[in-house]
Amino acid sequence: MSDTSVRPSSTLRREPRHFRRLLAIWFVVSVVGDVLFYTLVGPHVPPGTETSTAAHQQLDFNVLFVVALPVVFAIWVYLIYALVVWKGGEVGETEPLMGGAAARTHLRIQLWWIMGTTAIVLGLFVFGTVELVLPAGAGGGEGPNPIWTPKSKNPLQVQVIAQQWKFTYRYPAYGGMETDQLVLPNNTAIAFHVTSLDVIHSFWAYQLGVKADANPDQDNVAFTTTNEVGAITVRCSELCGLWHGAMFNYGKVVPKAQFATWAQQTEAQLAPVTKLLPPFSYTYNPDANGADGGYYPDNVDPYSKPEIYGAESKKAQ
Amino acid sequence: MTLLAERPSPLSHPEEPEHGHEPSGVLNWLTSTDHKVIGKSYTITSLVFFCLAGVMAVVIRTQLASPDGTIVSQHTYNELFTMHGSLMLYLFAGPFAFGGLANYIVPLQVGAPDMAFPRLNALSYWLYLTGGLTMIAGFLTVGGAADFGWVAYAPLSNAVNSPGAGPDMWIVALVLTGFSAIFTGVNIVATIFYLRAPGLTMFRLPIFTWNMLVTAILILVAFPVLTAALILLWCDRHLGAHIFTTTGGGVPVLWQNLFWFFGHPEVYILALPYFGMVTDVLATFSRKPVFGYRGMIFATISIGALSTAVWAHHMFTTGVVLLPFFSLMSYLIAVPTGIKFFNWIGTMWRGSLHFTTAMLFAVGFLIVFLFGGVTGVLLAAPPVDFATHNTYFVVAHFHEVLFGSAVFGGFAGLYYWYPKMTGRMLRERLGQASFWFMFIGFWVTFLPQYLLGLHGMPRRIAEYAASEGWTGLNRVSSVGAYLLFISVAIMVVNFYISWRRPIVASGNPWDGQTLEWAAASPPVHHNFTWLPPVRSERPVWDFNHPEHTTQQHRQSDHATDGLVGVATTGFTDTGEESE
Repeated sequence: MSDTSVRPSSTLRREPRHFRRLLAIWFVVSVVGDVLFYTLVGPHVPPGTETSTAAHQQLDFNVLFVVALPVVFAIWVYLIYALVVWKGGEVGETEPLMGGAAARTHLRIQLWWIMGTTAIVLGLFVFGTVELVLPAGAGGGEGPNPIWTPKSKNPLQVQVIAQQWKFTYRYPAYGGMETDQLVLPNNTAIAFHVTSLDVIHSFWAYQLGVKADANPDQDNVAFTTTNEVGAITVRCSELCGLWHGAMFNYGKVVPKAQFATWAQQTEAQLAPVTKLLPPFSYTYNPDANGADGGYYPDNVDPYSKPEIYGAESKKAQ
Repeated sequence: MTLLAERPSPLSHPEEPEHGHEPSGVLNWLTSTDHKVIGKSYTITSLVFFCLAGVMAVVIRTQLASPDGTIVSQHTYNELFTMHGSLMLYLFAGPFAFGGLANYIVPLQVGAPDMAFPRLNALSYWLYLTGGLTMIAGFLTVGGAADFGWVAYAPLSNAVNSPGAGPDMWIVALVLTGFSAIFTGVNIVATIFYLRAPGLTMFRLPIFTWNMLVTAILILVAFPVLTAALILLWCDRHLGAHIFTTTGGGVPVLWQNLFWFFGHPEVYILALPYFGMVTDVLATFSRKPVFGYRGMIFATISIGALSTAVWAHHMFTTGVVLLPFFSLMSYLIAVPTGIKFFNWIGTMWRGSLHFTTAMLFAVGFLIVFLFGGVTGVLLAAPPVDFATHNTYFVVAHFHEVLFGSAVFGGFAGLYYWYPKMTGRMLRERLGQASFWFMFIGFWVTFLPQYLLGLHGMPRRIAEYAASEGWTGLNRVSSVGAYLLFISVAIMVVNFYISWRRPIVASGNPWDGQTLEWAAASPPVHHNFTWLPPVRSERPVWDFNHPEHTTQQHRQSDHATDGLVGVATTGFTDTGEESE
């Protein structure tokens, strides 16, 4: 990229091959950086491998980092090089090293750059979309009518009810019991139905690689498949008021048999309470009497049928 | 290329024309319609808001420096991060660029005596100041200031969940500053289209002015949406409109769509002006023309256009948006941004780089913004967004792009144009100290936040348990925040010294290239007593360096290769091949 045609020949000095030098430095730094990252950091990248969606997210992180690092290094290597090699004196002392056409534009190299960056981002887009579709929505909330569903015909349905400031979980397969601990069986497809009773919350099960907003009056469905036994931390990840930071609880993924035992015991234990709960529904309206945690199935005016809902709920209070 | 007759130079009336008696002092500040006075008022006011919001950030970081922090209550904490974000985004980053520096510099760069609508300009400032004070005054109300985050998601922001006057004042403040921004946008567009000096065609405008044009158009696209949404929210709060609540058939997620339809163009409204400043600074201190000038302009326009089609990437987890579409759009916007990066480093290629404070901040911007931009590319993949959405990873990402733009880019612009605006130089040594504190402090603050996000720390939480294992990284991050505080303090000292012990700046202290450097420092009442002939995008350089004029290069290119040759000589004559 010189401009010997413009510069007077007396000022011509032999320029080192900047571009090749830069390319060589960048290549070495990038290869070393990527290899170190992939081997040393890669396996420990969150959120781990407890579920299918978590494992995919870990893979996505690694792939994107491996692509991104050389891009970052390209600019950083260039800047450091420029700082060292092309540092000028005081303002006004020196003349520009180059002017002319090459200083103003360089069509071929610009086109290469544009094609290169476009190819990278389109490649990442395809990768990201495949990684969204293959693991059935990748653990994100897909709304009430999911486009991407898991192969398993019979995922375990778990409803997540968010309200200021707690999460509770209802298991329709176990009599609609409502627990405040998330317990899941291992090696099982799970369908989360996330909803809220008041403001918008977000159900984030960190180790499961699941995040779905809890919107009032909406059934937000997210899928995952458990692969490993382990702990679960559930946090609210959307600002929901004063005690947003305190809105978290813990759970676990346990072997299938242990889950069955737990579920049967808990169902029996909670039976008297479950009886008083409103029937299972995909969305609910909060108890209009105030923030007491009570709720009613959606689209039902709690006061119009006191014999069905109101009376029982009042008893529950 | 338009060729116009030489105009007499200097102009035939070198003396100041008689404008009648100009008031001075406070009265001047109150009544002036001069873009320079208003621009300075904007700059100072927005920097005061920046410092206030910075102090809030320091309190926030102090609260988070240890587990179960008790420096402030949960409620105060929520007010603090809400107001920190609101002040920084609505009252600093935007107005500092389009109300402050652009207001001052754009008329100078186009060779105009003032903005197109000087009184509207004054109205903009007074609306902005009133709005800003209204927002801050929320702290004085019984229930405190707004505490629902700078995004004010419904239904958290409704009258039931956020009662009180503070939130109402926040809404009113944003309506006022929204109108202020809209008026400024109109003014900038009109000024650039209609008040350019003879010979200054659109493709000879400085990049900063071009970016301000696109920014102003984006303001006109985005801000009315926010203003309308805020009025709807106010109706929800006071008239029972039920637009954003489920009762009565409203849709809470509608707020997010409206807000982010403003909010994402807003991100570029906050970034493009600083891209422009950095471009001008890099060209001046590399002593070269802007590399890929037209590519730069088309990249800016593409960013502006694409920025209106990416808003739902803030809503990937809501379950109501089509993920692949918004993922694709978000990825595509990286391409024009990449063109800009290439042209920035191309501008530096084999230049004669002068590391003044302004240049340091500009290079700091490149380093910081790149990292923020690349982590943004990561977030455009929905699966990665699911893992990081609303965690400290995102907090670190947007601080890298926004702090990178508005503070590194903005301070590059401020140090660059400060002599023009005040007629005084800033102390270089203090400026460089300020830069290094900021650069190091920045990474110490935000790198740990990426890791905290990956380790599961959500944003906007007032406290965390020691058992989470987040303490160490949070502590490091807080130390970084103190370094940033020191950096800004040094800069304030620098301003103070230049005020008390001025070093007089010449009209063109940096050997600048664009028209503002043809005016005195600070410019006289109607800016120019004289203009150089405008034959390229760097008329002042051409005038001062006749041996290196841009026009000569062009002519030599044309002479050898014809018009296409401008491009072709570039790549047939590369350094590698000519050796």
